Amino acid sequence: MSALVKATGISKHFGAVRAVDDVSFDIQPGRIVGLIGPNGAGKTTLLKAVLGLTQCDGALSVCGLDPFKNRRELMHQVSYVADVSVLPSWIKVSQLLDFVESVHPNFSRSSAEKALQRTKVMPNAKVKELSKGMVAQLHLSIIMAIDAKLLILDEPTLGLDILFRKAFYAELLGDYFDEDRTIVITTHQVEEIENILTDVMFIDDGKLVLDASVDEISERYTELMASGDDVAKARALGPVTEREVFGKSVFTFEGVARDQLASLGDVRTPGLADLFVAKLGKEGGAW
Amino acid sequence: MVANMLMLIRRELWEHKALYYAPLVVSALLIFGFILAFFTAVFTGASFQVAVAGLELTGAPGTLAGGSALLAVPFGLTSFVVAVVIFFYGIDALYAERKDKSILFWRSLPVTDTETVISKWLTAMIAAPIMAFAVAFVTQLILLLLASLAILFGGGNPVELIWAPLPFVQFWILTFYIAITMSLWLSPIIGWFLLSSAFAKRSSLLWVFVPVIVIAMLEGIVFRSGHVSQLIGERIGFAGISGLTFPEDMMVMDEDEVARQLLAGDIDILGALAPIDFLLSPGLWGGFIVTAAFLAGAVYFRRFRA
Repeated sequence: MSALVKATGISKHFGAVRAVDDVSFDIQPGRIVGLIGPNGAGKTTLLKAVLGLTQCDGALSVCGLDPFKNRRELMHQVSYVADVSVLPSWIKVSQLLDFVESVHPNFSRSSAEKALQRTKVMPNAKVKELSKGMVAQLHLSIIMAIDAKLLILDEPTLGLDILFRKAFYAELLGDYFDEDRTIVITTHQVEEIENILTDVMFIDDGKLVLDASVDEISERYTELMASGDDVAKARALGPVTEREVFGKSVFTFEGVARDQLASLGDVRTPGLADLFVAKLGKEGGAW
Repeated sequence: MVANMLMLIRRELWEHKALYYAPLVVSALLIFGFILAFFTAVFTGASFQVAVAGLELTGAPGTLAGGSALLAVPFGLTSFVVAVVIFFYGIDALYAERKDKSILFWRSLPVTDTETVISKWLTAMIAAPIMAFAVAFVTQLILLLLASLAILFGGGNPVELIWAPLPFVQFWILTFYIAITMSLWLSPIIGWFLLSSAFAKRSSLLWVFVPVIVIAMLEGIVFRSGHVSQLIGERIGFAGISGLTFPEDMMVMDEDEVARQLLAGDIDILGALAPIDFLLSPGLWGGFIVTAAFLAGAVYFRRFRA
């Protein structure tokens, strides 16, 4: 299957600042990709380029289209949430559904209504009468009722409570996702999404520092918790990072066989947050 | 495509309710004032007097005169009010969506910036004037019915006093024609409002006036001429609009005078309409070219000023 998103040498400069710096990647259909990076790393700029909201240098194709030139066609196949607090306050819920139904051929009003029935959002309510969480539910219900090849969620759960976030990701994975769909998510709360991701992209300072599937990551990276004499042996194997947890040393290794490490202590696949720190703390580029 | 455009225009009307509320309020005030005067006249037996916002009718209920004002005043008043509302609509149309960030949502749907800008232009140019006309039309009918009742109660004959002499159909054709031609004539002004609202970072109200004033002043200082202000003044004053073969002074729509002459049969209304002249006039097409440039600018800013 050909890549849904194909980016080759993408760059975006704002004056002297390189927001995105020569980034290349492919996103295959049927994946859930986490785009992870610190604030100002270039995540949003990169997504904007993918969504045709900003022009960039390099070759970029999304669903076989040039996103900037063919925005309208692109928006038939791609849906996104740039921010969950941007629904116009004056509009009524029913009007919003009328509007999207009319302008979007791939929108299923009935599935949006079904999703909204599980919430407290009433069809006659105006957006300004809804709580922040309800506005987010409304927005996400609409976006997820669009039969899109690619769904892009930029901080979809920002400012929402934990119950809502859990429910949202459960629904995303359970009801929405299937092998024909592709989802790209950015979030600060890496822990919340790491269980649903199939692929991970780390971006820092405009550069892609990691682009790998979750399977590849577990093959390549190992976290070792060691104590006593084993600590020195572990250090000798060249860990990427080392930190102290409850008097024990925790190492992250890259490209060292797990069997070899298992004799030195407890091993597991590192969490994305730890891996993120490990990758960004280290000199050198992507692999 | 057409269905999409109609939905985009509906969306504008959902957001900017003043476009139809304002004419409705005018209508309600006129009707309310009239009813008040009607009851006063009938129950006190006094002479009939109505003076609401320019609508003046005097005489005993049985011999009501000035019925033509019943036609002219609702049209004139709603036109004026809707023009003010359209001004505020224009400077807000592409500005508010950036201010409340809802543009991020709108742009996530398969609607191009060009379609959005055109829908806003059509709302100001066509939808708002037609709605105002419809409200004025219904108001006229209600006022005419109320006046007929007042005349009946006074022992007069409404058919003789109002319905027979007034050239209703011709007047409605004329006013509808005027509403559309004036609106098309003002197209570049609407285009400028939209461009300002797409460009403005802070106050779009400021951006409507300041560049025009600055350019006109610079022209005055550098070239010692006043073409810019003259051009704008002519456009707003409907100078050079060709679409009616009435005498020049009637183009500024002095409703009472027009109505008086209409009633007197001094004017051949339908013969005065010159839609072909209007459609072929350089002033109209020059205006459209300027409009296209302004709208293209508005599309550009909506697209790039994210």
